[in-house]
Order: sequence, then structure tokens, then C-alpha cells
Amino acid sequence: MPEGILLPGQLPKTPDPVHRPENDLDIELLQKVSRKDESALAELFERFKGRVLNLAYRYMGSRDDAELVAQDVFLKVWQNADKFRGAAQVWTWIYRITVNLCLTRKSRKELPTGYLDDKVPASEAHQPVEALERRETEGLVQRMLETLPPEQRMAIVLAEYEQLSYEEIGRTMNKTPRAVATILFRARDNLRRRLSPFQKRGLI
Amino acid sequence: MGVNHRRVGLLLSRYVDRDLNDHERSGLELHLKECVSCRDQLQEYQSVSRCLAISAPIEAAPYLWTRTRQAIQDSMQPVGLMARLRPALVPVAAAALVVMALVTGFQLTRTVSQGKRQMEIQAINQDFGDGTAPVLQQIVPDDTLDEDSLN
Repeated sequence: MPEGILLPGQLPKTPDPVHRPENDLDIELLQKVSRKDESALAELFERFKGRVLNLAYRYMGSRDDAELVAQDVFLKVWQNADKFRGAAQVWTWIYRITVNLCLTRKSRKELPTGYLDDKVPASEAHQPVEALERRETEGLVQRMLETLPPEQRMAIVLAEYEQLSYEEIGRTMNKTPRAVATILFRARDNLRRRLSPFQKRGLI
Repeated sequence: MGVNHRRVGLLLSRYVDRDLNDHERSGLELHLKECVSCRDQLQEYQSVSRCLAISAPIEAAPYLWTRTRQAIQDSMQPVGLMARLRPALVPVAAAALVVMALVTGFQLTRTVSQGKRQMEIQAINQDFGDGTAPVLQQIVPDDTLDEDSLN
């Protein structure tokens, strides 16, 4: 048994303050993945695909990019399952992989992507005006998000969409809770100033 | 609890995230009852949250697992020597092409200008049939012509 891998039911040496029973199942699945059990990876995929995909979607701004990130996340899980040490929960570890891949991939892109690449799917072409207006607002908000520095953007996504605590965001981004608080304050202040003209004109 | 307005933005942001302890929260809420500017700032932060919440989550498409599985299987294929070298070979080949194009272009330019010079010399040294030795004329570039030289 590789060093650091926990047996089913065994608690980590530094227990997470918010220990979840589901984490035991996640650890068991990860141990099977480290032995190249594809069905175990499929189950982990089912358990985390929504959270990974939406975290990537909020950050990257397009479905295509988010799907590429999600594929890479589970490829990395497959390749590195034996390196999981159990000091954090499995979902924190997977989130951290997602965050790192988003930051790496986004930094390579020269231009910010539009929200859903600015294309209105045919299925939505005949939607009510409200739906199209909502879509425009989503696009505006996404563009504002993309003006934030990478750390601020990721912190806001984790706080507002994933509803993580400062401690959880800190574990995911490798920051202290105090640093997370400062990053979030700056992100909110930047967004507040950028969205304010549109809000004053009643556009959002 | 008195509120330091220089730090109030950070407190308000933490308030939005429910990160304040009971003592901090009650002190801030007391201050918000009296301070309009801080209330306005809090409302703006809450408005940011409402705007962000407009964006709906997406569902994972059925093909996502298929593609992920394919990526995993591709990663397990043995990689040949050429496949491993290819990432390094492409920029090297591109650089070689650029150098070749530059050298070829330079050589062509030299050849054309040499040929042109030869033709000009031949034209100047052409025998006019009367045995008169021609005077070698300096070819004057157009931009040196001025009224004085024309006169």
C-alpha cells in the first residue's frame, strides 16, 4: 500500500473540521482508481462532474473550455490518484486540480472568451424577451468577471457559486483565510465599480 | 464597537460571506443603522452577488464521460520515439524553413541585381559601330536630379 493512502474507514491524521462520511467513499474510490480501476473513476466522475464542470464554466466563461478542463481534471485524477495523501478531503483535492488547470489554461488564452461564445443556440432563438435579456446580463456579468485578475476571479467563483467558506477557499487556492478575505474584498470592490454604471442606468 | 471606515469595506465583504463572528456582526449592524454610506456600499456588494447569481449552472453533456474515457485511453498508449520528438521537431523545422527562405531570397536578390548590372554595363559598352569608344557614364540615381543638373 503506497505511503499516505488511507484504508477505508480510517481517518486522516489531521482530521478535517468538517468531516463528511461521503469522504470515506471518495477515498475508497480513489484507492481503486490508483489501482487503475476504471469503474471507480466512472463513479468519481458521476459524483463530481457537475461541480468540476460548473467551477470551470464560471471561471473560463465558455462551455467548450469548461468541458476541456473537466476532461483534464479527471485525467489528472486517473494519473495521480496514488499521490493523494489524505490530509484534505477528496473533493478539496479535486477542486484544487480544477483551479490549477483553469488558471493555467486561461493564462494561455490571448483573448477573453465571450459568454457561451456569444452564440444564441437555435433552441433559444424564439425564447421570450426576458430570457434573451437574462442572457445579455449573464454575458455582461461574465465579461466583468473576466476583467478581474485570476486570483480574484477564482476566489469570487468559489465564494459566490460554490458557496465555500474562507477556510475551504484557502485550502483550494493554497491561501490563508485572511488572504482569501482580502482577495474577495478587492474582487467585490472591483466588480461593484465596474457594474455600477450599468446598474445606475437600470440595465442590470 | 467602533468601525474604522478604512477597514469597513473588508468587514462588509466578510459580512456578505457570513464570515464575521457574533461580536463583529452585531457591531457592524449597529454601525449600519447610523451610517448611510456604509449601507450603500453593502447594498452594492449584495447587488454584485445578485448579478452573479443570474448565471444558471450547466448540466454535463452525455458525451463528456466518453471523451474523458478516450483521453485516458489515449494517455495509456505507448509513445514512439518520433511522437516524443515531434513537439521539439516542429519549431526546429519551422525555424529551418525561415532561414532557408531568407537565404534563398538574399541569393535571388543578389543574382537579379548582378544580372541587372551586367545588362547595364553591356548597354553602356555596346559598340556603336563607328569605332568610337563609348564614354562610361555614371548612372545617376533619380533622386539626385535637380534643376541645376538639368540645366
